[in-house]
Order: sequence, then C-alpha cells, then structure tokens
Amino acid sequence: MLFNSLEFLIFFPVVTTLYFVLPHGWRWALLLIASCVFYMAFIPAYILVLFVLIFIDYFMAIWVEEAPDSKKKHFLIISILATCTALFIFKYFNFFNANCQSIAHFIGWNYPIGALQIILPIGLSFHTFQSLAYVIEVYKGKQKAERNFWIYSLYVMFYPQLVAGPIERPANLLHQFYEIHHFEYQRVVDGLKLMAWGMFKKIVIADRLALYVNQVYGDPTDFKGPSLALATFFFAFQIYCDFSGYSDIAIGAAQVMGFKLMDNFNRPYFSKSVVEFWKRWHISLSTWFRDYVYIPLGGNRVSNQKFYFNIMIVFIISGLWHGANWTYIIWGALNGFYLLFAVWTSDLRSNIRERTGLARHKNLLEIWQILIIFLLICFSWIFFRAQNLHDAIYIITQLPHGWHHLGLNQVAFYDTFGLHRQDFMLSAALIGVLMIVHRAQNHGSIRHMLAQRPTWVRWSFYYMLMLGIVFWGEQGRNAFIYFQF
Amino acid sequence: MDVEPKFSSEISSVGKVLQKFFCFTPILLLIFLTNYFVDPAFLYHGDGYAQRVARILTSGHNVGWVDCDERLVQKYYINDLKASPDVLILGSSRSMQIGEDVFHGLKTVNSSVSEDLLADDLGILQIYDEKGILPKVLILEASPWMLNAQFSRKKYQSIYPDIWVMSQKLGVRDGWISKPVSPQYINMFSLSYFQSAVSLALEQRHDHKDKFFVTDETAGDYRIKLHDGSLSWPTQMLVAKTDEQIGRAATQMLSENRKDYEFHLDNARMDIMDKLIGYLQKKGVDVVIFLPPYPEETYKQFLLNPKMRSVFDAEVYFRSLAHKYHLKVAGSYNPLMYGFKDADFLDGIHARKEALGRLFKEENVIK
Repeated sequence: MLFNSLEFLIFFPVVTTLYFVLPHGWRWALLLIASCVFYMAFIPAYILVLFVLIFIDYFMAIWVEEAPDSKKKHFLIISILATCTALFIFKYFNFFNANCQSIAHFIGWNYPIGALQIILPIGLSFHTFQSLAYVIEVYKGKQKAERNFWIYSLYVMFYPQLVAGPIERPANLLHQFYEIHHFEYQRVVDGLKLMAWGMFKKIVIADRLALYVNQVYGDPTDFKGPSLALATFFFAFQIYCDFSGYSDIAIGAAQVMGFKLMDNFNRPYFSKSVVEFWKRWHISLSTWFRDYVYIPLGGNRVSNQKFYFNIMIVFIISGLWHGANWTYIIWGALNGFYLLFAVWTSDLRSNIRERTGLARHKNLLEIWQILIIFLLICFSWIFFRAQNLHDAIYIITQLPHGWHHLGLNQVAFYDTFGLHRQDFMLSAALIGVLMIVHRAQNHGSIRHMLAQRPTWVRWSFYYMLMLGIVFWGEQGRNAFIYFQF
Repeated sequence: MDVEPKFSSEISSVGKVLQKFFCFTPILLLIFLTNYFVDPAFLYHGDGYAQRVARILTSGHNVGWVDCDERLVQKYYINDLKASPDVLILGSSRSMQIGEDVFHGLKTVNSSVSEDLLADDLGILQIYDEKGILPKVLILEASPWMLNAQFSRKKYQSIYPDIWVMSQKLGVRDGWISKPVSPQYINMFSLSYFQSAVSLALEQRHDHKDKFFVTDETAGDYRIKLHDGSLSWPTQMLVAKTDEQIGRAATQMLSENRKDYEFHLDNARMDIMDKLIGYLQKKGVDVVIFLPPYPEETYKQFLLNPKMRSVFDAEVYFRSLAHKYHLKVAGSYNPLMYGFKDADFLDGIHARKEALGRLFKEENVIK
C-alpha cells in the first residue's frame, strides 16, 4: 500500500481510530494485523518470507541469549546466514548469475544456470537489516531477547516503517510497544503536520521533478549536456524529496499513534563535507553500517591501508544494498573514494584556504563547501539513476556538449533544456521553497517556529501547503523510489 | 481515580483535532465545486457533449479530440448510423488507426475504444445489433488481455446496460463482470480531475463547445477523430523512431502494464468469446480475428518472462477458435510472422497504420 494512495487515506484513519479506541492490551494485535494488511497489499504471498525470517531471528536471538558464551556466536552466524541467504536469493542471485554467465561466455564455457523468475519482496533490505540489528544487539548483550513472538513480529513489521525504513534499532522501538499511548492533541497534530509536509515533498516536488528526470534518463541518447545536467540536478532533489518525504510520513504516522521513530534525514544538501553528508543522509542506514560493519572491521583505529579498505568496503556494500547492479556498486565506490580523497587532501585544502584568505570569510567558505559537496553528490547520482553503465558513461561524456544555444534568447534557453517555461519555473520555485524551509530550520523546528506565530500566519502556511498538494501534486500513484530496495 | 480525567482530556483532544480538520473544508468544497462546474471530461454535464461529437462525425466531419467518454460517443455514433457498415473494426487503441483508407471502396467504421475489453465488445456489438446494422465483416481485435479476468482498468460504465443485454442473449451467467463505480463518484474529489479542470479554466475554454472542434483536416498536432470513427494520432507521435527508442518504449510499456500480461486464461471469457462468435455467425457477420503484432522487444520480453506465458496461450486459443468457426486470422503477436520491424511501430505496443494496412492486404481479409 502506497502512502500516496486512496487506500492509505482510508487505512490510516481507520487503524489510528481503532488503535485509540481499543484497550492497551489489544493494540499490539491491531497493529500487527494492520501491518500484515499493509504489506499484503503489495504481493500477499511474500508475507511468508517475512514470517520465516521473523521466526528464525526470534528463536536465534533467544538462543543467543541463553547459550553459553562459547556457543552464542554460532546462533548469531545462523541468523546472519539465514537473512543473507534470503537477501541473496531474492535480490542478488540474478545479478551474480548474469555476471557468471558473462564470464563463462567470455571464456567459452557453457553456463547452464538460468535466471530466477522472482520478484524482490518489497522492503526486504529494510526489514532484514532491522532484524539483523536486533540479533546483533542481543549478541552484544545490549538488548534483551524479546520473549513475546508477536511483539517481536511487530518490531519487524510495524507498518509505517516496514517497507522503506527508517531502519529502527531494538533499543529505540521494542519497548514502545509496551507503553500506553494516549491521544494527545499536540503530538497527534504534530504528527499530522509532518505527514502533510512529507506528502508535499513526495507528490508535489519529487513526483513533479520525476516527470522530467524519467524522460531524460529513460532515453538519455535523445538529450545533450544541458538537459542531462538539469535532469541530474532535478534527480538530486527528486530522490531527496521522495525518500525524506516517505520518512516524514512514516515518522509522522507513528507519532500520531504515540511512537517515536528515529530521524532519517537532516538537510543533507547543506553538508560541508562528504562525511557530514553521510551523517545527514539516510541516517538509519549510515549508522547501521557504521555500527555493524565499519566498527567491527576496526573503523579508523587500524593502519592506514586497513582504514582505506574499511571505508571502501562499507561504501561498496552500501551501494550493493541499494540494488544488484554495477551502477549502484560504482555509486557506492565513488562515495567511498570521495571520502578517502577528502582525508588525503585535508591538509592541502586547509593550506589553500589559509593562503587564499578564504578561511577568514566563513560564510563564503561555507557556501563554497556546500556547493562543491552538492556537485560531487550530484555527479554520483548519475550512476545511481542511470539504467545501466552504458547510459551513465554516455551522460558523463555528453555533459559538456550542447550548451552553446543556452544564452541566445529565452526561447532557446528553454528549448535547450527541452522543458516548457512554465514547468521549468514551477520546478525551480518548488526547489526554492524547499531550500528556504531548510535554511529556516537552521533556527529550529519549523513546527515550533510556526507555533509562536499568530493564528493567521500559521493557517496561511497550512493552507498554502494543502493548496500546493491540491494544485500541483502529481496524482499518478508513483511508488517511492526506495521501495525497490 | 485519574482514568476519568485522562479519558475526558482525550475526548477533548479528539474534538480539537476534528475542529482543525473542519477548517480545511473550504479546500474540499473548492475541489468539489471546480470538478462539478468546470467538468473537463463532461462527467456531470456530459451527455450532450458525446452526442454532439457523434453528430459531427456522422455528418462527415472530423473532430479535434479532447478526452471524454469514448464508449458514450460510440453509443450515439452507432445510433446515428443509417446503414450497416461493410467493415467494422472493433478493438483497442491498437486498432484505432484503421480506417476507410485501408479498405478502399468499402463503407468502413471503426468503433474501437481505448483499453477495450471483451465486455466493451459485447456492449458495442449489442448497440449495432439493436439498431439492426451489424456489419458484413467484423475485424475483431483479439489482444491477450481480453482473456484476463483481473484486468484492472474497466471503462465500460456507460455501456454497461448494453453489455448486460448481450450477455443475456448469449446465455452468459450474470456476475462475470462487475458494474464499475461511476466515474462521477470517483472524480467528485479527485485531485487529478481538479487539476485538469483548473488548467482548462485557465485556458479560458469554459464553454463546452470549445473543448473539441470541428475540422476537415485528417492530421495535426493533436488527436483527430475521423468521421469513420478511426483515430489520427498527433504528428509528433508519428515521427520515425530508432530501434533503440522502440526497445525502450517496449520496456517501459511492460513495466507500467505488467499485470495486464501476467494472468491465466479465464475460462468464463473464453466461453463468452466462443458464444459471441457463434452468435455473430448466426447473424451473418463474417468475423476476422485480428492479432495485432507487438514490437520485437516486447515479444522477446513475453518470451523471457514465464508469468507472461498466457500471451502465447491466448494466441493459440484465438487461433483454435478461428479454426473451429472457420474464421480468417489476420496477424500474430509475433512481429516476425509478418515481417514487422521496429520501424513499423509507434511505441512499445501500437503498430503504424501503414504496416497494419500492409498486413490486411497480404492476408486479403476482405474477399
């Protein structure tokens, strides 16, 4: 079930009303049933895959906790293997197989294994990582194994964050299913406002930008540098608004019922370094990789070579997590390289800043850094969005071409981009609005800022938000990009 | 002791939230009133529009076309026809381009409607039958989704009574199709309908007369419904495309419409198809089963995806049906059977008119 669908518009108020009407003892059952209904709206049969994994991890965590120290690791490994096997079969087998096939073909071998005809269960990468976090935390002794099977199932399946995160940690979420949540006006209204803002980002900004991005990236050979650059620029905002919009709706929906989910985005395009970007982008995944891959590998408390290796391996796995395609792997590796490059050139850049006097102009330096990081991230999005490596390389090589008509006149300007003036202006205005809101968030939460304003200011803002959705929201029931992961 | 106060404070919170929601009712009202009064697709003030379009067509002129209920236009159009057509083409947008220029010298009518289903065919043929003007030759498009009981987009609301009558004539049990919810209800608060209404209002085309226009041109930058019922696509769509573009269009079409092709042949629909052919033959209609080819890339993806196996089963079924009733078959989903190349297609599903004309000529479908 998509958040931006009529079904959810009915589902959410019904479930929320029932949640508050039912006595506390029954609420977990309602949420579990609602989560099953929500998940089964996609491909019903795949709930079996989900329950098999829940079943395995539920028992493994208990056994990890109860086993003597020498045997704990065995159960942890079984759990990790089971989860990774499911991920491999559904997500990576065909990619792996196709590559083996190519190699076999190259060396003239007959390769008999065909592709599996299966569809990736929705949200598999998200809920498997959430389950793994739970078992690992139990193994580390930081989390008690949950004895109630249904509560554990709910931890994995809680519908607001089931299919695209935030990837929760047991310490944050599990105990909340035991707490009594009352219908508190301020919390409910704040949650609804967050949902409305998320919906605005998704259907007004992301889906509108997607129209142009899909056209260009659907067949990049039809376009030249300006269009390719603009589509990449738009994609940077599309994917941000799409995914952070989803996260806002998820966090808001949970908040209405009294649950607090972790933040997933913190205005990433205002980052002044790549490291900062990754602390602000898809925070629940970045911290997952930090805690369960990077630190166990030794983090930065190792030799330089091992540190470089650790960084690259984490980013390549992160790329692979997004999808079984070389484009994602290169996207991950490129981001890893950015980070290492930043480490290698740290002193040099500091010297340049001092010598040019840029270090004394903090605002200018900040703008410069934000711009550079944004451009680097945009460049990496080319690999993320392109359908294949061939397209990505075509886009990169064509970027410098076709700019000469741009300055001729206004008609030539829009023709060069292949975009109507009205669409261009609207898209630019929407990105502008987003940036203004983000800039204002430097001074605190917009919701709190608004709360201190007169009623007419607050309501003008709410009305503009709703009218924005009504007038410019794309109504094509476009799925969220991260659903495919 | 403190349960009561907590409960009453919750009730008061609910009241406050509902009050806030109530403050947004002007927006709902704005949507409803705009949708109702601007009414871009004539859902609420629509009968006259469809009737006028039909009148213009039957009077021999063409219509610059704007979205509207095609089935309703067909109903009026057929009722305005004076005599049986020599050739009737019935199908989806894949057959819509076929007109009288393909069958020179014969009175040709195209009653195809977008996303045509078996139910639509029954309804439209019933209107012809009731008027007593069933065609001499019926070219009946047999696209695979016609046998897909789960096909989600059903547009036959306005000819539902005719479908029901034809179903009774064929002795088909009630309940094989459900009556779709009226688009009038669905679109009452629809945001996409609202946006269409606003852009229409901004273009200052408030008057219904301006929503289509009479023309004698047969091609233009817009869709033109020709007087024989066929459709002339906008010239932009007719531009020559590379093989790569057609390949990409095919991939996109299948990713958007995957479920249309992933199905099992529905026994009820096969039975109805069988009965319909039998009925038409009894009425003296010479039926030609038309299997419109798909581009090579689309067909290749059918081959690669076992879930789309039914596409081939559908072709086998339609051919066996033709064999049973000694019907002619024109075309095949397989483009190579008739030497169709990517250049013969407009996108991932629609063949060019010239290519289809060539196919009908080769098959000599009209004796």
